[in-house]
Amino acid sequence: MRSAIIVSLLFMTGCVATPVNREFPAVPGSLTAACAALADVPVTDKLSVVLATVTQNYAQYRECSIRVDAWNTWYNEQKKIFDSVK
Amino acid sequence: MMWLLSFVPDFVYHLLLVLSIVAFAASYFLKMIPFVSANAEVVRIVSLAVMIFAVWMEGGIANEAKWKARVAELEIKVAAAEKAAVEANGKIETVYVDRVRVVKEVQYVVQARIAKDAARIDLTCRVDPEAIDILNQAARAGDKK
Repeated sequence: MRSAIIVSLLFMTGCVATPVNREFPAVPGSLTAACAALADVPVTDKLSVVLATVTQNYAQYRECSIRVDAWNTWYNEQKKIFDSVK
Repeated sequence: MMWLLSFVPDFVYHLLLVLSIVAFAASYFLKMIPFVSANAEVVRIVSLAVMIFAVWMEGGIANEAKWKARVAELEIKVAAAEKAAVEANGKIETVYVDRVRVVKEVQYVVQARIAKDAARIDLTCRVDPEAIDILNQAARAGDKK
């Protein structure tokens, strides 16, 4: 009787696998583009040329800043969605 | 042992449990049957072992059912999350493209103004080369070498 109980106990092992595969979504390619380097002002004595380059750099900075903002928003949104599955 | 659940239908364990309980009870109450009375001890031991096994497998079946339900529930949630992720991607990309378009439009207007007023701007101001050097040095600060 005792050995029957011991043998029964030895068989009491088991494992459960939960096959639910998940992957964090891929970031859109437009958000991963590197920011371009700022343009140098050409050698000139004309303020209009300087102004054109400086404003072009401003625009480039704005574009890069928008991309970083979008990347952060993308990550925070996707993380919230990913973590909501429990 | 739980791998057995994949090969043997559940009803076999239900049947084993019922039969082992009946056999265990019979070893006590059906002593008038010659075979049972002669082998009562053996029947009791075997039926008890089968009963323990069957009860344990019943637990496994219940546990398996619980996990399968959990997996099904998670799969539904994952599918909903994947859909939400795709929608969020679309919205974020749209906002990004719109904002960049505005920057480019403003830049176009600014460049046009500079071109239009260049003569007036350049008339009263000459830029010293040192100023350009300072601007370029500031623009290159922190660049990769």
